[in-house]
Amino acid sequence: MDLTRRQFLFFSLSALAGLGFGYLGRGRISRERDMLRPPGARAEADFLATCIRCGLCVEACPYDTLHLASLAAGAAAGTPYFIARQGPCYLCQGYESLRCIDVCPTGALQPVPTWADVRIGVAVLDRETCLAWTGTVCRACWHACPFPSEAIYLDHVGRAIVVEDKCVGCGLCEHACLVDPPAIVIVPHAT
Amino acid sequence: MMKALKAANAPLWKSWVRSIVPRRIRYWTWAHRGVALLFLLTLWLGRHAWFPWFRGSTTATRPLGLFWLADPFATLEIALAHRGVQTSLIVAALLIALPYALLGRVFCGWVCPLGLLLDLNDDVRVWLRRRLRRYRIHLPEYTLPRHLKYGLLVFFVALSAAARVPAFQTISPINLLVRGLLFGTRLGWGLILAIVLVEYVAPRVWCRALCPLGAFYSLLGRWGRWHIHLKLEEGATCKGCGLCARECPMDIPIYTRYVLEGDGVIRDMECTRCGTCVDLCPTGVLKV
Repeated sequence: MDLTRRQFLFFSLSALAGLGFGYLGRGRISRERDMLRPPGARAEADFLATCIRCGLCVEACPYDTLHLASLAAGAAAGTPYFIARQGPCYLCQGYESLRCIDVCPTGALQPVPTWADVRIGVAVLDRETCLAWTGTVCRACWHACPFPSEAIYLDHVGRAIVVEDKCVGCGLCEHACLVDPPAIVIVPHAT
Repeated sequence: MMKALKAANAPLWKSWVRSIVPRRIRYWTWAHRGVALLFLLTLWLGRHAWFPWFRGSTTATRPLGLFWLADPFATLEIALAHRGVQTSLIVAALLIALPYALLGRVFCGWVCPLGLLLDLNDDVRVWLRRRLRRYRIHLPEYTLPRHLKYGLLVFFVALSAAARVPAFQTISPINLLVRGLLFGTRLGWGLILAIVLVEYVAPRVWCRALCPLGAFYSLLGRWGRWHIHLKLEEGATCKGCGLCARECPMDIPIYTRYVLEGDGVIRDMECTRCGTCVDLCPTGVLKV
């Protein structure tokens, strides 16, 4: 390609500007850090780097759980997320595999050996507002949990306790919680 | 006598329709618009009608649920952002890159949903310009240097590598349009509206001078084999009207550079093979 000196300077400056802005804005441009990702998602920084923002996972989801982030999410715009209170991840119950992982073209969603190995986040129970912990009989989260008595178990008086090592973060408990705002919420893993 | 009276009393909307619909059918223009519309429609059906023809969007699709096709520019950005890329994605990108390398910058004219929107918008602009001229209002036609888009391409590639995010895929108006139509994200519409409105004072400025994806496909298809060319047969000659260059959506100097001075083959990396010049050529010597 025949570049004039002026063009070469222009392209060099463009590259420098890109590198500069990228370096300064690195890690800062993603505004919504508390987004729940589909199962099998890489750690947040790697997920943002690999997700091609095509929406195949959103279309593959049989429960219409996933959404694509809008421009308000900054660098995460166009990446899939879900709001557990509105629609949790049902871990493709009734299907043979996790369908969002099957269709991901870039490996931003990595295959998981079993459903119990999914790590979307972890459920955090607020004992101040939880009905069971404040004296009413309730085990809605335990009933909703895909791993009852493993990820959430009931103690000797029927209060729910989350086992953080076993919790997959699907959000079924947050979806089912009778209290509003929910006493049990999914917090994505810190990255 | 009756006929003349009837023509004089023809309703106003008929003259408006006449001013949009040309007397000659523009086959290639409607062919490339049709293909782009068909692509968008299959994407839309993949989303809303559980019709698995093309799932996904312009960055990556999964035809019939069998294999993947990926935008090579998006793949490049991911490779730089993630410092590595998996083999299946490279294959998916090559499946797109190889035909485009052979054909040239056909994506912009025949596939791109934003290109389709701006192409249709350009018809409205030409119509509006004609209307406004009657009231002595002249729409300005500003231009930007077309190498700006190569600068933006370099900028976004560098940005992706440094910020470790596929930067253009995140804010690309093409993606925003598809996302807005298919997935209902709302914020992108403002940017698309801005681009559409800017077209009225600077025709096709996005495609000509700004779009990094267009720049990428221009470079990719630089040694393409498929060109619009001049074919003189049976005494048909170029009369030198220059309509091809004047109406070219990409503002390529077809007449001066390629017909008068060149060998009549439009070997221009900006050419999207939209066929507008072929449709408009009054002597029909330009062929695809």
